[in-house]
Amino acid sequence: MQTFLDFFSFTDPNVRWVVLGIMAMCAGAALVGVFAFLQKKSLVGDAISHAILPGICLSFLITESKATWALLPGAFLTGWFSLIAIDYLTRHTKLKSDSAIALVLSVFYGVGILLLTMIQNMELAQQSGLDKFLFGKAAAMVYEDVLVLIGLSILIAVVIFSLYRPFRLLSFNPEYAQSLGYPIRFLEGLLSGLTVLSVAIGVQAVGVVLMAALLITPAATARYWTNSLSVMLILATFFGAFSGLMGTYISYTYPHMPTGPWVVTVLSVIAILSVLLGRKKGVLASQRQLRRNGRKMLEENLLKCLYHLGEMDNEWQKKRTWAEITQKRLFTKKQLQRAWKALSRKKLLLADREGLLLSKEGEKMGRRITKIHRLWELYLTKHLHLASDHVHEDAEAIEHVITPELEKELEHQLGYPVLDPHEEPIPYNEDDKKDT
Amino acid sequence: MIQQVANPAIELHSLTVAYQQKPVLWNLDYTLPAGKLIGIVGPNGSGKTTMIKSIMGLVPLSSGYVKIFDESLDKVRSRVSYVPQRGSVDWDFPVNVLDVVLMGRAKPRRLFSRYSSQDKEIAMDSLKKVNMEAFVKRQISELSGGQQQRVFLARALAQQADLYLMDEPFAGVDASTESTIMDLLKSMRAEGKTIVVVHHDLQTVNHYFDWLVLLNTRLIASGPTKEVFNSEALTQTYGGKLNILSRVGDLVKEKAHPLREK
Amino acid sequence: MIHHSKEHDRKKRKKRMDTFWIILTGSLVATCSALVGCFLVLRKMAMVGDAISHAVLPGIVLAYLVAQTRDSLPMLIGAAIFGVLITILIETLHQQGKMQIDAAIGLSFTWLFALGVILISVYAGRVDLDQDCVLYGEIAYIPIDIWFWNGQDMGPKAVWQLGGLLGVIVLLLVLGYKGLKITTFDEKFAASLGISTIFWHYALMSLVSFTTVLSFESVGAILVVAFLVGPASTAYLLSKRLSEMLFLAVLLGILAALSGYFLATWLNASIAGGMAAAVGLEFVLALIWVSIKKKSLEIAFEEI
Ligand SMILES: Nc1ncnc2c1ncn2[C@@H]1O[C@H](COP(=O)(O)OP(=O)(O)OP(=O)(O)O)[C@@H](O)[C@H]1O
Ligand SMILES: [Mg+2]
Repeated sequence: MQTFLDFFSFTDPNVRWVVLGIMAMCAGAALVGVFAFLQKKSLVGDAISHAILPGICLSFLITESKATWALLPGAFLTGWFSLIAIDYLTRHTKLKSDSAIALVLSVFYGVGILLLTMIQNMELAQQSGLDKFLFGKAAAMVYEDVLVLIGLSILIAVVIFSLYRPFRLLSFNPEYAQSLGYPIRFLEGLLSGLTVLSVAIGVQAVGVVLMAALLITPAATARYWTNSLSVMLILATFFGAFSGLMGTYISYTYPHMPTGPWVVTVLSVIAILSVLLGRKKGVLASQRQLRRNGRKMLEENLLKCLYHLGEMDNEWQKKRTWAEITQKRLFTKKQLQRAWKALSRKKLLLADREGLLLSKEGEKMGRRITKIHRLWELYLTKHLHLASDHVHEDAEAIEHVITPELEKELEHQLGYPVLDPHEEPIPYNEDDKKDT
Repeated sequence: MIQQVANPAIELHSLTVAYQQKPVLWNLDYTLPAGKLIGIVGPNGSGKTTMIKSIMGLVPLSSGYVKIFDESLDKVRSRVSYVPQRGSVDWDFPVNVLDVVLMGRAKPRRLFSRYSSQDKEIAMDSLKKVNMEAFVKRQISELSGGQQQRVFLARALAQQADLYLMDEPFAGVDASTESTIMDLLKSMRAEGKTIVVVHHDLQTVNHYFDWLVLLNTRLIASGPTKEVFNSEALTQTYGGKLNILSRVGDLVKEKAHPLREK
Repeated sequence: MIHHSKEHDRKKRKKRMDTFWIILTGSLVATCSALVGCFLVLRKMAMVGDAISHAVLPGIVLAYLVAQTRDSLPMLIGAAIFGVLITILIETLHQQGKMQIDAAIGLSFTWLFALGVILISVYAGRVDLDQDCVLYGEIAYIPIDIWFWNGQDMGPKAVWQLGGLLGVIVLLLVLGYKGLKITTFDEKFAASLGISTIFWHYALMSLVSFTTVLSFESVGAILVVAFLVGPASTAYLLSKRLSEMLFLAVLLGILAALSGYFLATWLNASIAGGMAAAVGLEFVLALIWVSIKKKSLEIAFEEI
């Protein structure tokens, strides 16, 4: 508890700066990551982050300094070069994009390791600690590093904010953007530049291996909650910054814990939770939808069954016994119980020990389903040229999805027919025809 | 017009196929005669490839079933040959023409043994039939589009099947190659083989095919070419999707609604 | 004086022997990876290979913790479990979770790798593994870990393990050449013949896991990707037949191991890093060669 208070009161200036720096960096990476995600180029980010290592080493060999400003130019250069290499290989050789990415990633990284170990064995002053770029060492950042981090993250945010519309077009419909006269190549280059930049500043905190996660995961997570780009950007930024905060907190509380891997783990846990619970594509949401479909089908089938029983003696406001119902249609006991309970709650029928009685409203709904079923059968025979003995199964399912507008259109297009393909009457409710 | 036949080579029964819930083939119900040259025609994205794939058991079915020679596919697999769309493989793959054709001789049971000399003879024979014997050792990336297509055909011939399903064998092929291929298909028909061909060129449909299937998500016509190839059917086929049907399809996808009750 | 030179000789011989073992180990890693890697490249699954090589890390650490030895059997099991686990995780995120495939790959492997690093830090005292080893292996220490059999010095353990793996890979290639070739070239066609494409897929993925874990000690989790993808890609540019590609990839891999060793000793740097750099150099040279050939062909055509 004490560490919690110590940490979140931000009284320790060291903590304050490190936390701010990491959060800004994560947020910046998440922002550009959204566009990489939408262009299906997430893994290119992984290649860039590995390709930064040789650049850092080269910078160090030249400047002999470990400060962020000194290492950044080299990092940016090799990062950018890796992008060009991948692009060239996929365009001009038979290599496919996955091999091109993996090749560039591993070779650049190998060269980086070669240089890094060479530097370590050179016994230069200052060299110790360069290997921290492999896994990142957030706690070792100093005030100046943090200033650079924050400054560049703000730059990224400003560029994206001011070029929001062209970037959006570029991600969703590049051909259209081109036809509107946007300078596509320039915009693409700018976006790549921002990606390289955010990766180059990010490796300080999480290292080259895990940096890809900060680009990819927030965007992929946000996608489960929204379809809109602006909301996605906001959410991704939030997820990124929050994970940055939590990662630093954990390694503050347990000093031997590495920051980067914890940031990534927090992010991944949020991602998995979103995959399960997300409102847009989440697994639970889909399952809820499936259950809702099942319930709707069951209830409508019972109404339809009662309506069919009514058709036999033209008497719908009459109680039907349990035996009659199960004879007409095979309901299991459990299904029947679930359906009548739900329907009587909605006042669509009355139930007692002997059987069920449709209410006026229930009769109307039963008639509607029966009508749609028969209209759909007719539609299938007319427009899909199906034999009349091959349409029932299809209609049994489709009758439950037709919306009122589609129902109207179906009636209209078929010309308010009175008989279905099996010569059964198509029943209409009172207000069906008046609407038109 | 949909004409059904007795003793069909292929029978589709209430076949519905959906990708990510969205139906792309809706309730296909038809039979195709054996020993005929059969054309499948429809606009881009109308589901022709999907239909061939579902006959070959390569995509999951939402409803219905397929029978080939009145059996399930697994029982008659060795009698069926599938020629995928040319673009479906990597033509930079390091194999030569003979390697590809020999693949037609592979059997799941004999996967661990080498190709026999008889297999090689059959493969060479098939290459001769498509006039490609001069290219036996050529790497496939060094072939023209028409030659690639003929290699695929030779691979199918090497299977020595009774039923051939060919996805756009004339795509990217010049006129003279097309007529060579066509002669070959006709001679195969003369041997009693059934050949189903996905085709795009409406000009030639009349000369090429005995039987025609018109498709656009739903089946529009299936019958002898002379009877079904008319302007009304073509308007239906190429006149766009059915408004209500495609909207119901969208709804099914949006609500993740099942296409059959169970 | 005489005594001194004898001692000197012995040291020199020992050093030469060590060099031999290191290069042999590197070559074995390169050979196994090249053979498996060719199929990864041809199946457009290079990044899945990358993902697997990262994901075996937590498997290896957990195996250490459970078995408390550096023996390779528990490590193999742990790695194989995580190798298969990540393919399932990627598939599940993609199919059930409807996540686009590149994001699914990126998310899965970074997460598992992060878990591995965390495990190493948590059990720092109990796991004889450090972060450097994860990142670029310790091929220089390979000759130290000797396998004794009946009291006899049989050479480094790693050589035997990698040799065994090579045996398995070669066996599978010889037996399954036809199946691997067909399912890799045209998966749908293979399925239409009734061949089980899933079987070949998982057979290959298991080999990738095994290769990564056994190469782990020598070259680390990431540089093995250079060996998996590099020589295979170079060979892909140059060859006309699959057997040729496999052969060439192995040759290029061994050559890279050899030249990488000398590059690294010359620069006094990581041997594994040198080998990966050599892999890259080979690719660049091949690329230049191919484009010169193409250019001269074009010129020849224009003259006609
Ligand atoms: N793997 C897939 N995932 C999702 N949708 C798909 C997939 N394959 C095809 N589709 C969609 O299914 C529909 C039918 O595709 P199909 O390839 O069967 O058409 P086609 O008639 O063969 O077209 P073409 O003439 O262009 O070859 C198209 O709308 C296509 O976008
Ligand atoms: Mg097609």
